[in-house]
Amino acid sequence: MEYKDYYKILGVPRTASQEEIKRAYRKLARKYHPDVSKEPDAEARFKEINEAHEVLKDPEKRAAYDALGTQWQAGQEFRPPPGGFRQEFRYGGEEVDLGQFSDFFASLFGGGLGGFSGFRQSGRKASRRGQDQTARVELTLEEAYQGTTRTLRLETPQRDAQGQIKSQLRTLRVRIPPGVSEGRQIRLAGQGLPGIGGGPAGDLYLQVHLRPHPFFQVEGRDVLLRLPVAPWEAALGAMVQVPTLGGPVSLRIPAGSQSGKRMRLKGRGLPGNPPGDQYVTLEIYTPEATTEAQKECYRRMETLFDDFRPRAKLGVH
Amino acid sequence: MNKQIQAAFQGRLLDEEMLLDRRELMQLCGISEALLVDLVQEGLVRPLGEEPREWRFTGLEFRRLQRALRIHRDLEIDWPSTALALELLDELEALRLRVRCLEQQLGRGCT
Repeated sequence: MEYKDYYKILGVPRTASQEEIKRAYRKLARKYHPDVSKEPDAEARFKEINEAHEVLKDPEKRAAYDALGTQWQAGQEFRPPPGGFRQEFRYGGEEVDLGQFSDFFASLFGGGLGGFSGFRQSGRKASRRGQDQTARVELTLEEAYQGTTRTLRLETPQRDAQGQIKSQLRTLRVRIPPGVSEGRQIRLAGQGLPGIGGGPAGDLYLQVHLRPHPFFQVEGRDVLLRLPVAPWEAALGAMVQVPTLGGPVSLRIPAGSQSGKRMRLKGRGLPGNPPGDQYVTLEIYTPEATTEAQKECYRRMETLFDDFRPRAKLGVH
Repeated sequence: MNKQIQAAFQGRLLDEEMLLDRRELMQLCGISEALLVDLVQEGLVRPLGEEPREWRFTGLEFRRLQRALRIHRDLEIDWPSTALALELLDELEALRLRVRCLEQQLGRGCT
């Protein structure tokens, strides 16, 4: 396991006062808290910050950590001495839930061989529910519409035969129901971290994110589409094919439609109660005139529509 | 291990349709009744129903309450500040979503 420099993580000197540690923690927590932050590595950073604070805010834990000495560098391979640490620290605080902390933290404060004996947990019998876990799931819009199954690999801390806490990978297959929209959460009861002292396991929360789609956008359960139409389809009216997540449907374009006209396909958005709608915004595409006949066609239009003033509202000709 | 891989767990979507009563919410969030009443009065969580015994909470409110509890605990701020932070975060998220959607539309319009 790697040594963690808790002072470096909080950006404070080893001589920092408790007040300085608290201030540094609060400042970093505001920046990296996963509920607040948009930093890409916010969750991992906050976990480190929280762990450093957990140790340094508590004078007993801080003294135990400081006793490791100053010769260690962040990231350096760390192994607790086989006979355990010589220092005895009397620890009267609450039992520490190791689920949220690193192997390094667990090796120091989680009991078992090598940990500081004063922090051993075996003396306390209190049972407690395990921590909730969160995981991020990215779906395509088609998967969100139809529902899908995902295989997740989750790290779960578990105590081995020697009482040491080790991270273990576990695989979980999860069925995602149809109609999940951006930012929604799915709760998997009892699939979080194991409980303490026989307490129930926590829950696993999946946070759903939708990947951008090549032509659909999503707002809640509604699906938005810009639909290209030919000038004659817009001018004369037409029956056109429109893609939807459930497959193509026919849509009647009324005669005299303009670019920007918005039409609703009821119930063609993401499933739900009620289901979302699909909104189609018309976009008139002008064909390029490349042949002489095509150019002549535009020139005839110019003559036939000589009273057409598209910029009249702007007060210019 | 193989069994774990084969079995697919069906999760519960936290949305407007998921309804929790007071007791379920308190149990899932690990909070007391007194705290729940305070948080409702503070506007941090918004129940359906007038009287506390009639209260029902949607999956979205459950999620909001969990978020409030984490922010309160981790940022070490009081409940009124937590309520303000949540309101601003709600607004920020709605605006970000709108901007993302408009940017996608504009990006397509420019090409």
